[in-house]
Amino acid sequence: MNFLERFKTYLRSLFKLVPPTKEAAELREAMLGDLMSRAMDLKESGGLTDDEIYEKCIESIGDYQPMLNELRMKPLESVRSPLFQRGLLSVLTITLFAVVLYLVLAVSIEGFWGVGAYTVFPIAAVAIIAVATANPLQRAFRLKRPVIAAGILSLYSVILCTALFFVLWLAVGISPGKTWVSFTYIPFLIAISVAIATKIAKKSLFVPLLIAVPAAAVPIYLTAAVATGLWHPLWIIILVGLLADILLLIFRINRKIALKAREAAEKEAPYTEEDVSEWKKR
Amino acid sequence: MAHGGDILRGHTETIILRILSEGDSYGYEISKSIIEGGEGVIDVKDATIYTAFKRMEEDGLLSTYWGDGVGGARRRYYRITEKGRKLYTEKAEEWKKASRILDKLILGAQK
Repeated sequence: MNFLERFKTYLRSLFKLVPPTKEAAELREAMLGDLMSRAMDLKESGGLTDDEIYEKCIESIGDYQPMLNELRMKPLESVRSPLFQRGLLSVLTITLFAVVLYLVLAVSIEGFWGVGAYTVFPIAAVAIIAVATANPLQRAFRLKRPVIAAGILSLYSVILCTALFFVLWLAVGISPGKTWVSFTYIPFLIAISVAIATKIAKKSLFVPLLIAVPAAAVPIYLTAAVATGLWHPLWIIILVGLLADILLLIFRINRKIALKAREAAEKEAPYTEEDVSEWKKR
Repeated sequence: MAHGGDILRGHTETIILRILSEGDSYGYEISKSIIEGGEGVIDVKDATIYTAFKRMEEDGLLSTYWGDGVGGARRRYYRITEKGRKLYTEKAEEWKKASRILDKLILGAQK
């Protein structure tokens, strides 16, 4: 990794808890410019390895904590921030809209008082959650923060499965004795959320995949069994899921062993191609 | 010998103003020139300088602009304002007087 990338990674971790204001972004860029200038200067003087130069540059920053603390928003400032105010305004608008819509529909449609209460308000609640999380989710993707992204996507998964349960039960008319299966999709969707977050962080997808496969097999089996009543032969689906997992694991181990063997072979090669040609000349 | 930070204390801003009064500069160049002028006694950290820059910019003593850098990173340059020059002249006069008095009091007849 070159200096620029190493310093960028370092500054990213340093500014992790600092809100992304213009001031913070400018300080961060100024620091990057100065770190690079120092590194290039030290490189020109010679005598130091790249790692030593990197360490020296980081050391030159000194105690950065008071400087970063000044950039953190105080509670009152968060309330004043336009992002917070716009969010609050959206929540109020959606709530007001839902109440008015409910009253208008309830007055004009017979029997809507009951049905309306458990349709209009949950939908409004979901809309509020969507509005509240849209910005943080976008920022988590942009700033490559996998934990926040996974958390928000998992929340969506839970909401989606719960909504599905109620829609299938109340709107489609399938008895809750069957629609409970929709909840069993939650682990699978969370595994997918984690996989997406892992992808942002550019880490290996292997572990999320290993969890996602059986997490998919279980709800698929339950859905098929509840729909057809064929609990007995359909359990094979679970078995297929487990087999797929074992196969994945075997492939993974196989690849690791192959890699290790290649590394070992490269390290222990008694002679290089140059040696061979030299030897043939003699 | 007093610790490097003790010598600098209270004078960082004046020193930065002096350096900028001789021409626009950026963080690393300024800290380098302080360290080089410090005869190995003074070691100033970037965080100290950035904190001073921030305060000075808020006080209208300097302005900033982005310039070319090295290795794909821009440099943030600082320029002294009229207000900054005025303050520097005042501070320099104060320092001349203070150091004259301290010389007399600390060194006495030795001089």
